[in-house]
Amino acid sequence: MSKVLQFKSRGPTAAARFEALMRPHFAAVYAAASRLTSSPADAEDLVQEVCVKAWLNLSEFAEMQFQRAWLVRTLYNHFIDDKRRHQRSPVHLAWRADSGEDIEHPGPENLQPDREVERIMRIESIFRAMRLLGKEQCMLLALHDIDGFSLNELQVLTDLPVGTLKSKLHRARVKLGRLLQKADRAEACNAQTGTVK
Amino acid sequence: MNCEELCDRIADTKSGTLPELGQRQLAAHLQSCEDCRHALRALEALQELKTLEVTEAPPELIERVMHNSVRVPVTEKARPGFWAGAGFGGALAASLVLAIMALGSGADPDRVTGEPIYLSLSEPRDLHVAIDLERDLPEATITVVLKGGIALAGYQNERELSWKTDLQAGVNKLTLPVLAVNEQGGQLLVQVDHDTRRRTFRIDLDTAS
Repeated sequence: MSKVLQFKSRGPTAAARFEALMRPHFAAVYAAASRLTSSPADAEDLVQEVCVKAWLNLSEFAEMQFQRAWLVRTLYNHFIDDKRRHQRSPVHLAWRADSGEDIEHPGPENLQPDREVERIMRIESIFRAMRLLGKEQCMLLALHDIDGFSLNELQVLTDLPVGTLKSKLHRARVKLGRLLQKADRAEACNAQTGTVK
Repeated sequence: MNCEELCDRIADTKSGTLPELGQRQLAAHLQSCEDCRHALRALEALQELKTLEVTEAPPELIERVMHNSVRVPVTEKARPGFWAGAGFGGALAASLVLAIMALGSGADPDRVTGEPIYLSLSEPRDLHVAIDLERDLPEATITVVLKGGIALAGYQNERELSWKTDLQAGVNKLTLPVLAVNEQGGQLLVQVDHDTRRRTFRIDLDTAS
């Protein structure tokens, strides 16, 4: 089937409509992006991709029942694809234990530096484990268990019945738990090897 | 209560712990169910991700992203019969079909269309470029470069525009509203990139006397 690539500005009315639709969700989309990237520039790139997708599908986007959930799903989708394509770490921390640089995202203020290092490493490890899940599992967990979208919202997004979603979520959590356990064991083994030297 | 229900109720408490369910019931189940122990571990880990500090989007970032978004060319499906009308007068007499860009294996690497196209000063004219494909090209990059005294309506200050789009097997049609901004004439380059493959077409444009 062929299609037309209309290289035409939609004009100020469509742009204003798009902005009116998009602005209420911008903070949530940016929050999800900044959680994933921790670099403002990467977060902006990710949000830009999502906004462009919404703009290109403006008619459909305007009709959607759960626009925010669609935007965040699109964001995760793009993030996962991009990371798999480039095989990069899912978390680009601005600060690392050995860099001596200032912490850009220190998290809760009352955390001590050592505990903060552990916390950052732990978060990196969780993201790594999530990346090993299937795309659908990763997406469902992120949308439901991190961003708090309801099963009803997921049902509309995925066309899956609530019962199926519950089963899939459970299987995804079990798998993630296993991956985390495996990572913890590997880390403990490495630590032990390190101390034996 | 089965594992899924238990897991679901744990997640629903939002905190990753489950005071309402009854610790004894939960502990008994977890002791005998390895899957639920893994699921609980995962829920606690995901809970930790929620604590990541989130930076608020600066206002200028919002403006920039919005501005950039609405400048991206729009991809729309063809109306039935559109293509037939574009090349042979009729309802779209002001339009011109410029080139067939075949990206098949036998296609020339770079092509120049034959006769120059004539434009009137400051009057946009829809020019149609057909991109004929043997197979789908997801996330192909289209780049349009303008040289000399021509411009795209709505994008008068841009000399080069590039965007990603999914091209489909068959004929894809790129509609470019071109206008002459002076009597100098110019050239329009249309380039399609996918993976390591590239095809470029050059279209010469003159001003009608």
